[in-house]
Amino acid sequence: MLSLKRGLHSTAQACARTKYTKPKPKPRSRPNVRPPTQTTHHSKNLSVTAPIPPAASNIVTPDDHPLWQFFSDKKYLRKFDELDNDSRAWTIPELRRKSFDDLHSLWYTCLRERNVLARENHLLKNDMGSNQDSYEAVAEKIRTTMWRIRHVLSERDWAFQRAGQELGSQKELFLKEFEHDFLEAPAAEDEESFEKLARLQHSVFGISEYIDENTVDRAFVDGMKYVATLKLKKFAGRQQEIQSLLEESEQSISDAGEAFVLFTAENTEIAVKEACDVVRELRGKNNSVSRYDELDTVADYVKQLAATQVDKTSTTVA
Amino acid sequence: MVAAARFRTAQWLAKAGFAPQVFLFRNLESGQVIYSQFPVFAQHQIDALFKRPNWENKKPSTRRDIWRCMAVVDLPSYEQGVRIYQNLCRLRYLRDVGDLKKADSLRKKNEDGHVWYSAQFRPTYTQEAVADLREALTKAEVSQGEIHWENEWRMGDVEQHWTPVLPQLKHSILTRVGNGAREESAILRELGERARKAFAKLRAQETAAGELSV
Repeated sequence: MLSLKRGLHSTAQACARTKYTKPKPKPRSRPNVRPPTQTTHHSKNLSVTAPIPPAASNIVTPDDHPLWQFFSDKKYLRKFDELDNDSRAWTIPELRRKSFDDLHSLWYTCLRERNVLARENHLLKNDMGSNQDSYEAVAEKIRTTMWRIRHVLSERDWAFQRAGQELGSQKELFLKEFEHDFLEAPAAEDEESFEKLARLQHSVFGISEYIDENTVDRAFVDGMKYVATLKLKKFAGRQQEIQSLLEESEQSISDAGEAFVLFTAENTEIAVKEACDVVRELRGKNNSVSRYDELDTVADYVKQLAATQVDKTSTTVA
Repeated sequence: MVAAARFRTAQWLAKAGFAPQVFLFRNLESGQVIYSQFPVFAQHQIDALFKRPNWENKKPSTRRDIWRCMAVVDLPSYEQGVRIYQNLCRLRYLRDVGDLKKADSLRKKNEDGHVWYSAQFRPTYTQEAVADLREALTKAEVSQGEIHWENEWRMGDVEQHWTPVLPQLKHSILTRVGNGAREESAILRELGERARKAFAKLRAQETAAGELSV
């Protein structure tokens, strides 16, 4: 290849360095040298180590963990002989003798047991690939109990509805009969008669003795008026003022506010007389509840009364 | 420029108000782990930590919804914090490039001879990160410190793996009350604040002790 550098044959020799050249001077010392900001370095002796697997043993399950409900005695899988294979389902006559609360708790006991059995059965069938039906057989018995519980409850519901329908036609007659008996009873039997009245108001009008349990509906207000009128009639023969109030109100209480006052009064002559005074006061102020607002107004009254009762009990407890 | 966009020195971290901590984030999809000097991470960390991406170890994205905080390491000084971070990065480099054969021999394999996986998930990466954290702390000779784990499960058997080599190190669990995934940034900020106060207190005690001896 042609060299582009041109010269004579003696040029290289003439240009060659023949003398020792002077070295560069040392750099001047700098007074303000900034130290390096990064001083650390990774360690030199690092080596690759085996991975550390996570440890399930570190996790402690609390005893009250909700998923324990799906285990029997915290066992993963019960053995076949641990199941109650000899048991039978509850029969319908047995269940008919039980109260609603009993049936309710029995239902949930069954449900929880079925959950446990379903989990165990699933494990057995899917994870272990077994054909055993032991868990399913027990679960089937429990399922029988459960439909029987529903059956019994449905029987009761039908009976209640039928009774309600039959009562509808004869209710007036029945209430009149009761009123007659109630008013005829002598003063010495007051306590028993008022207990009867309490039962009547619960069964016919659905009014509970505990005021905060009630929901205010048309039946409640009607029942309240009926009971208020009965109370007045009961004590009218013994007290002149009550008699006159009864006559003024044409033998029945039709205002919900007045009825509420009388209804909540104690079942004694003095208490009813005081309630009568309050009713008179209300009438004096022309303070009546419109029939259209009855339900809302009475619901408010009931709420207030329940609140005062709660206050009273809390103060007595304190 | 955000803080996490480049490597930061101990001095910088102290001045900017960060605590002497190292953060580990884990990818929910693939199980890969990112180390960071900050309670957040950026593309910088991913670029630094995934030097040789391949089909088994793909470079992950910065999607924030698939990253969860795996552990937070509290350290007694900023220098040590930076050192641990450097150690972790170096160990990752060794696993991916320097000592690939050894690292690969320690991994669990499936029947085809590949790193065991289920869909995109390879549990070995997270487990390696735990091992690397232990190695980094051991070789940096960290006497005191605390690791806040996301749960008890992740840290492995303490008696077997941690106590023999790092007896002084404390382990604790990040709070799991409420929605941890949503509140993560708040939890990390709170942890950082606490660590910063603890560090300031420690420094004050040291200076007081120094003055006393004089």
